[in-house]
Amino acid sequence: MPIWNSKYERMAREELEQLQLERLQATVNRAYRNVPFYHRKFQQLNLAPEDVLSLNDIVKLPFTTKHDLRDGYPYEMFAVPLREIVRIHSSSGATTKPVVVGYTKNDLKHWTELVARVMSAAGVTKDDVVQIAFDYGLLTGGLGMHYGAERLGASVIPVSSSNIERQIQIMQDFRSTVLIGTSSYALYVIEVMKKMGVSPAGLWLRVGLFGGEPMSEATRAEIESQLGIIATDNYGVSAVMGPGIAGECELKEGLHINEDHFLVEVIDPETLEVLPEGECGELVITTLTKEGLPMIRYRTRDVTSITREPCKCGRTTARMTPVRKRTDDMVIVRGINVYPAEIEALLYDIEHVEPHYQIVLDRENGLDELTLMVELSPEMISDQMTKLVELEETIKKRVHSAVGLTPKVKLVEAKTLQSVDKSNRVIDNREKHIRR
Amino acid sequence: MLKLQSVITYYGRILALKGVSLHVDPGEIVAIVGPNGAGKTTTLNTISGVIGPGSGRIIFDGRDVTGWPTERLVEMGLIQVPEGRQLFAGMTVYENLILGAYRRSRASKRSELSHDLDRVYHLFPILKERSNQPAGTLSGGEQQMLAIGRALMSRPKMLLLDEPSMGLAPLVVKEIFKVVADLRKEGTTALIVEQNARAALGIARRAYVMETGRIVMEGPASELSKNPEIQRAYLGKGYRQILDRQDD
Repeated sequence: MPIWNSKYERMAREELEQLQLERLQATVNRAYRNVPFYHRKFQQLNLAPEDVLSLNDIVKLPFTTKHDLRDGYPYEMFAVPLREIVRIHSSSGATTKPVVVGYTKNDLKHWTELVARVMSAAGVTKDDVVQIAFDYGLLTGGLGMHYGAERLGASVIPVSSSNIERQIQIMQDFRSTVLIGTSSYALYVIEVMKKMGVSPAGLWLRVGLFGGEPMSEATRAEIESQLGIIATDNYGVSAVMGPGIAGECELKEGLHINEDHFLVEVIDPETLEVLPEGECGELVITTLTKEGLPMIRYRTRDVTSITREPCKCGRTTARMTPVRKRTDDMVIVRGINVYPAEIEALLYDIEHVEPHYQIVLDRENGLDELTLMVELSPEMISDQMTKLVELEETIKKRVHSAVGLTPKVKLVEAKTLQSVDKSNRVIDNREKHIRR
Repeated sequence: MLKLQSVITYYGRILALKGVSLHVDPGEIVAIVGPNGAGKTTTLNTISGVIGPGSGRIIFDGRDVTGWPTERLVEMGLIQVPEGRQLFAGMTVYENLILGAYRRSRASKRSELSHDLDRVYHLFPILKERSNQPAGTLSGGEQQMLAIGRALMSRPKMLLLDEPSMGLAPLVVKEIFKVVADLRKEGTTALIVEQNARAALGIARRAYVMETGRIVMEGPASELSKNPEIQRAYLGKGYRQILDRQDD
């Protein structure tokens, strides 16, 4: 398959490092000058931009965390005036402040280019009919992939993720050749297809690009065999840009990182030391071209390892292993990031329940389900069914508005969940449903 | 062709370049734009060996040339067209051009010389008309053309152009840049430093934006010329119309 941007995807390491150094210095200079947060951090560390004289000097620079971004809500971290921002995306979040990301015209142009690269690497061409089943809206998946697919020249169908029967109908009738979405959504498609009596042979699909959540090899194998496609894993971070940061080529031997736009490190999340190539740790990303929201050493909390060994596909960019673990307790359900702490905070505000809870994740008919077990307050050992039902509804609504996902709620008697701690806060049964 | 890695240069006791990294690929015209005093000319003078760098690395044509004297760099084919032209005012246009070939005159054949002379006359027909006139009698624009022509006579591997539009009328600037655009088509490699960002971004493939001794932006010239921040900050006083809202 052709390489979308041969110059940058096949760059010699020495040339790439020159480019990275130039762009890192420019990014640091701009962040220092335009973002008070970075200016302050540099001063605290007694650092000046000219202390970055080599790529290795990045270790001197401060980290940026999700917490920092929330503190800067909504526009504090932007490096350009708002009139130069042409797009704004945001994470969800009601109890905690969401992370707001602004893009300049140039940022969007780069984003589009990078998604086109990733899609091209997966084997998508202008002859494909691309069905996008990511949600369009504040999250970056839908629009991010959309523009890249258009740039590629493919025929793009912005279906979004609602109404699964319609999704499958369109897939059949419009002769979609590429499916883009979360891997769990693909599993759901498979289940519903069975119910609808649609056979994969009646579809035209040949490639699937999945992302937004971890995809196990078992899930990948299931999707590939059931839909008869090549399924690639893709990586993006909304706070950094969205999809297009990295993606697998057809060889599926690691996700190619667009290193001319992102400088990546892997650190030990405890000591914060940079780990040698090949070792597993937390991915840290520094943006090299972003204008709206430059990011220095953003801690992704995603666990991966990196190799700079050139790939057999001809690309020389570094590759990361698929992300299947986090350094925090965030779980991804139907492509939505769920932080247990956020749910805990919201339970505090609801009367008659204790903030003792447990999250159980299941997969039913291919669809992720989140069940929230919540302890009732001792005085609530009530047999007033209506009151309990009301309480359940309240919790569902609050969780939905905070997280963007409606859970199943199970109220349990007081003191039954007291033994729940960090180790069993989240019970994930989803992979158990996949037979190999 | 050329690489700078974190070059730091002092101008007297003033820190003029605070870690400048840039590169120019073969066949590429790259511009450095930015306001007066940003360190653009200091960057060129550091590359051409006029000023020694305090630290960092300069690599030209695959060799580490950090700290090399100008003569050796000229021998390697790195030729600077200085700001303010610096021609031999009493000598004719023709004599000035022939002097440009000095670097290789012993080795080069007559036929090559006349071929190169024809090329320069083709690029700048006015120089042919004025070939027997003393350089000092030329207009500012013609002198700039002669300075570029003289540099081309040495068959440079790479040209360093320092403020070619300096002190010239807008029409003449247009003419000079048209020639630079022609050179680009011929595959000439050049680094051009300009306060006239609009003109420079119009002909360069890539550009760096400099500010107080630092590079703050890098990218394709076409991209940078559309950047509102650059339009506002770096196009200088004479270009206030850019401030007016424009679509793209």
